Amino acid sequence: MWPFPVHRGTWLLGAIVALTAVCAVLAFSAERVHHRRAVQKRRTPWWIGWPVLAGLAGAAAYGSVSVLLVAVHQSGASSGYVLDVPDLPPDGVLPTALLLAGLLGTVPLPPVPAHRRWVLPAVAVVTADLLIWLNWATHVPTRPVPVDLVQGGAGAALLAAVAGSVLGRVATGGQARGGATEVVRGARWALLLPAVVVMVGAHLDLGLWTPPLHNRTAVVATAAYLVGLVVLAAIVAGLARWPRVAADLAALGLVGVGAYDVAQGGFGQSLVLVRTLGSPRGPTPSFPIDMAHHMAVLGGIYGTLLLAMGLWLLPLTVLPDARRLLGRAPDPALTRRVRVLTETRAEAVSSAAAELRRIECDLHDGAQGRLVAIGMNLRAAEELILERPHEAATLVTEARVASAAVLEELRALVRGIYPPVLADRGLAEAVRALALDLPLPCDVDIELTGRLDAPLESACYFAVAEVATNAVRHASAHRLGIRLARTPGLLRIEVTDDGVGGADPAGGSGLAGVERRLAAFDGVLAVSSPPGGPTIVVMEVPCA
Amino acid sequence: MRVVVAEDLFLLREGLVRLLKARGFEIAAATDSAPGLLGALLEFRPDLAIVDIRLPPTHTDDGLRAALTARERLPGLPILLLSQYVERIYAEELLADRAGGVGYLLKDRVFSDDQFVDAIRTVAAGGTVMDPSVVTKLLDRRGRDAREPLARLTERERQVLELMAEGRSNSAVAHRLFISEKAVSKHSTSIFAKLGLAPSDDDNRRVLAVLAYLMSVPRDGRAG
Repeated sequence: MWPFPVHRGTWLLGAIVALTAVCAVLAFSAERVHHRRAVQKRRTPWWIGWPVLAGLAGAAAYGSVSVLLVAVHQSGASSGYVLDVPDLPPDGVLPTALLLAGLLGTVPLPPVPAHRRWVLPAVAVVTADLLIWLNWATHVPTRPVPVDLVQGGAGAALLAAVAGSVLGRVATGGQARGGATEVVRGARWALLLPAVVVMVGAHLDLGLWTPPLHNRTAVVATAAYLVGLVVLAAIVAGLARWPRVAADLAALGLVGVGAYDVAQGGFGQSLVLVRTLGSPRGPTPSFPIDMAHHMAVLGGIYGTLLLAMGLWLLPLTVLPDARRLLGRAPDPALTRRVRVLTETRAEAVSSAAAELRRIECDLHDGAQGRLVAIGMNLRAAEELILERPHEAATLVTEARVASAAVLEELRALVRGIYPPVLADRGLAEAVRALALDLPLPCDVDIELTGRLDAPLESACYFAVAEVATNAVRHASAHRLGIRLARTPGLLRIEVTDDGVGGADPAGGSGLAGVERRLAAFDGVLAVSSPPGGPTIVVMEVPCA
Repeated sequence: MRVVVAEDLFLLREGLVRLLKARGFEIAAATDSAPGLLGALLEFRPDLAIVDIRLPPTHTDDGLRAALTARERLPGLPILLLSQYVERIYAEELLADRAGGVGYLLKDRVFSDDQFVDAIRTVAAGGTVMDPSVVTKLLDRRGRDAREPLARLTERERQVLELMAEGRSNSAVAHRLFISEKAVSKHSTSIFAKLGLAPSDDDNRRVLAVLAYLMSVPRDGRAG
């Protein structure tokens, strides 16, 4: 089946690399779906995926070439690690192991809740360490445990921990806001980051990861190891901090590496650039010439793949950013903000106009009409007062009763426009007064001192009133709870009831209106109302 | 009887002054702002203050605050609040010291000058007067649940309770319901027994007890 005799250890490595490649393809398609969906919904895509995937693709390609070379040229070799060939030094074990571990967490594992985001890094650490030791145990069972393996295992744990904590926090934004899926994605990519960083380090021949101990003192080696660790952690943190820049660099990197390898393959000679530039790091003399040719051809093939991938990424990453930087396209964040503001302003203006119209109708049909009637009554009484004083007195009484009714109507109208307690005392007292007037027992818990801006107070008051009225009318509740809490920059309102549930903002209840009105203040509304209750409505509005 | 009037609407203030003078009250001062009210109260120490809740300078509840401040300095100073709105929260603040001599009425009650003058005299005498709209709201709120003691009152007892909560004396209640004063007293004993309140002969203490009962949170937490 295979034209070459192959060492049994090579099969293991081949399987690892093949799995890496399969996972890379799966992750690529998943990331593309996510990216498209985010763009369609006009949300910010999770940029961190692209640099990680780019690294992943590079690793898979690099690994497969190496495995093939080993299979072809060094089958039956029994010295050292299975990967101990000129093209893939022992450092290669670690990134491959880390990659596989990260992929296990990225693609096949089910989503984990945000508060368990340490589960995936833990899986990664265990898998990576297991692989490293398995590789060693399979191939060199008789040798004493090499120091660099211990270092590799500990380093894997540290890097996964750094990435897990940094990316996890970035994804959750420091608190439990935002989508849970984003959190999961963040934690998953965090697993792959260290592998990619190590991989890139190995490509650049930095040797940070596993310093060759045999020709250095232990102190120098340890220092180099620690420095390398810090540098890698910093790169991880940087990628997490500027994921968009990292995505751009990754795309450019794929194009660059791909183009280099294609050129190499095209010339049919290995390391054409090294030769051209006269670098001392050429192929070693022990490098057989046919191996160099194979390497060049294989390199050309995987270079083509990488180049295609990079070119495919360019319009998603580099081009939009370049257009923005050159001022040809507006910042997407600004565009989104402008759109939101336009929408909410239109809502605000039209709801204000509708409100004015309602007030005008109420005044026209109610107070104005009654005042006309009162005037007519008084006019008639004026004429009758001397000749028929009794009839005049009846008319005057009618006028007085009508004026009381006008007052009552005006009172109700004013309450609907701006409740007097709200004007006098502010939101906290007004909500307390509202709770007192509700026909259900209501627990009120308010942590709010000082006054807010009048428009904000009014919007929040009517939001609470609407939600509470809904609960009274539709929920068959026995008890309500209203909580108001102000944290720096945010006012949080929670209205709960123990009713039948089933409230739905899309179902034509007043909740949609509340949501729209709050949106004018960048506020949001969330409803949890399973059938059978309880119903919890949470509103959050930014406030100074 | 010397009265201080605080009302920022010129027409209403003049109307009040004219009405009070015609009924034989002496106007110690008529002011249009909260600081003016506080100054007048402390200077003239009147027998009664008639105060609009919403007054300059801030046009919020300045009148109420000034009146409560004056009452702290001059304990027992009778205060009759007038407002376009009756808010339960303000009624509670007014009643908080349980000393009596307070009233809280809608401005339109001024239309009916006999009732208004009755209210003035009750408050000045240390009694308590509550606007019927507050009392109706309180009774509605507490009266919906069948397990509430309020639901066990007869229709007549409920009427008596309502008038009592508004601050009327036994004789006024009797007059209003066209029953004898003795019958009112019988009803009120029965009401107090059903609500579990301590009986009292003092009109004002009885009013305060009823109001406190109505404003309290329902005991078992289920009653509306």
